[in-house]
Amino acid sequence: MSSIRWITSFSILLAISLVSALPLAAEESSLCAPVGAGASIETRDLDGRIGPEWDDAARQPLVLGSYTATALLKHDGARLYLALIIETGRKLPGVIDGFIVFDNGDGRLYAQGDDMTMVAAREGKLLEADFTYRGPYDFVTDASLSGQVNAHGAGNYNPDRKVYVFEFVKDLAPDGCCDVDLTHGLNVLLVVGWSSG
Amino acid sequence: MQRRRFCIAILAFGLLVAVALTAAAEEGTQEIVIRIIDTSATKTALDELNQEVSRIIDKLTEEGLYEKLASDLINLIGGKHDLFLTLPSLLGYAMTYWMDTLTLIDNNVEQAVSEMDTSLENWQKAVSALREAQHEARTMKRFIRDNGGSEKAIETCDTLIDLLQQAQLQAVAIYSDEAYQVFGTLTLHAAAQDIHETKSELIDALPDVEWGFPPYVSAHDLYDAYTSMNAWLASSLQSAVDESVSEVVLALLGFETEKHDLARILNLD
Repeated sequence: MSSIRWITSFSILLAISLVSALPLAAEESSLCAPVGAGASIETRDLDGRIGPEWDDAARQPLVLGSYTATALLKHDGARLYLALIIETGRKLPGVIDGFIVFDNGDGRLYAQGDDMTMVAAREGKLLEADFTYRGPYDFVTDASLSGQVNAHGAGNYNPDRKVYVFEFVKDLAPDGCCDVDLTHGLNVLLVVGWSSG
Repeated sequence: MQRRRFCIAILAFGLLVAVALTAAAEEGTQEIVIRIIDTSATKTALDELNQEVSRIIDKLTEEGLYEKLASDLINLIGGKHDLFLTLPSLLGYAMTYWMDTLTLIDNNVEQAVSEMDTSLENWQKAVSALREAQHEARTMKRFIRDNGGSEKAIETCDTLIDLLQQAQLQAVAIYSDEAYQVFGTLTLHAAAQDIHETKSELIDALPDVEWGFPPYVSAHDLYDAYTSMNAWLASSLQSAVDESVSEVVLALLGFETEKHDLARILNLD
């Protein structure tokens, strides 16, 4: 009889834990962020650290989960530059990914065929970041779909400021295979974020 | 005893799984709508303008070229005037459209009051002017709504539309009801004042309709710069052309300052 109580308690505890682990489907309202022109940044200079190369970028305050963050945005007529500064206040356990999912034009984010740019925070290491979203936890590199790699990024944890920094660069023009058209004048819905796992 | 151990082991394992799942699900996202703005076209145009102004200043230092230079200067103003007219649209919005529309609404209301003051027989002209103003207000409301305007801006447009509707009814009533004529005209003046005040509220709400401008550019800053530039072009420079070479030089230097002020506001310098 005692065992049954234990198992029942355990089941309730497990159920509560599982429910709390599910991502909340909170309703998000989209921010509007015009992206003005700025100086180019060389891909090789992406290092997960915010330097003077971002001084001419527009700053957009964000709330990402339970942390405040800032997005820096600019373009040079050929490429979009986006940086995320996430004020976690501590180094989070595991590998932290920074990502952008671009709607492919159907008005639905996280839909098959969305364009994804993602890098892990690996001490500022420059990484190819061009992916195509196919479903939850299912995305492949554009290169594997005969596309070009035209997005790169680097992520890093800054222990002094206790922030994660992700820098992304992505071509504005699509590669004809898997990318969203970001050329001027078009409204593009996207989601920026981070995840651990 | 063995069963209890088994249950404890299961419980410990379950807790580990739950903790791991909780940790694995941590994430944070935010939706954003971005639009790439081609400010480079504006910068290129301003650079070209700068080169032309520099060329003319250089030429002004030479003797005997005044008449030709004055002509060049007028062509320069005429040729580049479009730049300042299209600056707001280059950034996504025609602020001038709003202001022109509001001015038109104001003028029409004043015209309507004036018509009724002149003669009550003019009531049809007054109603026509008010109706046109109301049409413009509706168009403006659609424009603001479709371009990310705030609820306040849209509501103020609704108020303006309602007031214009009431003013039309009052104009008709003043004409058709003799008993009403005593106070009716005064009421119409009061309505015109209400419309004017609502228009002012709408202007205050306009900065909310900034979708399309870079965040560091306020619609009012842009409009002020644009207005200042046009006013300067209209009076200072063109009159200076008719004066002396030195005044033209001063005017050109002033033009440079205005241009750089605008470029600074647009963050193009």
